[in-house]
Amino acid sequence: MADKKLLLIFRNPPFSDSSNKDTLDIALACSAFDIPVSLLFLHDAVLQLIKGQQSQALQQKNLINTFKALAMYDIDQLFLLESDLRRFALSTADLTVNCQAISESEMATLIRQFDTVINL
Amino acid sequence: MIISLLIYASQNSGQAEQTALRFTRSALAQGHKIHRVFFYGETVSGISSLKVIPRDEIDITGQWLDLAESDDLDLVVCIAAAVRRGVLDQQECDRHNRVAANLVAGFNLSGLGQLADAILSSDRLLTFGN
Amino acid sequence: MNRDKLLSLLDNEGYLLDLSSWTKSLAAELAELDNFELTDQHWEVIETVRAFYLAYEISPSMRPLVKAMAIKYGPDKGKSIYLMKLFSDSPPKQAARYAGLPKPLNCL
Repeated sequence: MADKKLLLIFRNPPFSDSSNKDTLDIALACSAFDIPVSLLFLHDAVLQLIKGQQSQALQQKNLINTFKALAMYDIDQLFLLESDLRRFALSTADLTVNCQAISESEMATLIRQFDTVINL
Repeated sequence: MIISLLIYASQNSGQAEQTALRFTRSALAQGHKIHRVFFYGETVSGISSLKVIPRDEIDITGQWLDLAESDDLDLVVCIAAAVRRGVLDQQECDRHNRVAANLVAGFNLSGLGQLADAILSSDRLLTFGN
Repeated sequence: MNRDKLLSLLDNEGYLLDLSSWTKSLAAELAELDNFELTDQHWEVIETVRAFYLAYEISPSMRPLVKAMAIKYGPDKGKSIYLMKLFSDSPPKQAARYAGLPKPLNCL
């Protein structure tokens, strides 16, 4: 089987629908099949990476711990847009995981590097 | 070309699953091979044999089955998505001590590994989402 | 604990129903049920998967388990072949079972 690089795009805010968890589950499953996985967080999806979230009050399982586990699955290519950081007045230091901030034009180049892109 | 589909749309809102079905027919008619159709997320709720569709509406699940029969499609339903939504085959019904199995015959429950395999085995994976 | 009592604590696949009821002695009883001997090497793996779950709320599959073992016990124990020799079944599944954790998802 040919090598395939996979990009997963997150677009939805935390604690909204199940798409963030469903996308994360695809990442973990594909990593078990030795598919190199990268993640791109767009718009409100960036908010789920902010440090110090307390999901207990919502009686929801916190995805933040799973995001922290990604490095253990060799998923360490995480991207987000500089413009989204500016919009929310955030810096990458505010986030739980290491992300690279890129411009819109770099995003276009990035997406073209992947064989498969999933955007639930 | 070898193509797989990932279907992630609710049957009750929007056209995405209908579009996926029409895409599949059209791709098959043009000689492409459909490696697998993977049902994930809310789509899975509709693959229940307890569902009743009004007579004058279209049963999309039945249309997938027709296509599976004529063109030997591999229809795989994500097991984690299904179990959490109460869509069970006999094995899951027994495992979780539930009263009835309701997964539509012709669809198979399996893990996300089947999606990973579809990515590796196909030239293209198309997502039909919301 | 007698066999029926022990079985009543498990789901149909042998995983603990109530994760908070786990103790080391319960793990030992589970292994005894399988006629499986837990050595110090096995306990290292069981403690590693428990620590992983506490940190990440997820039972590790093979790759992260290997990585976690390597971080804690060095490269010789951080190898899938080492874990395969230690456990008869799939190492992530068997270790999760004795560690009282949910069955790991997406395990090959």
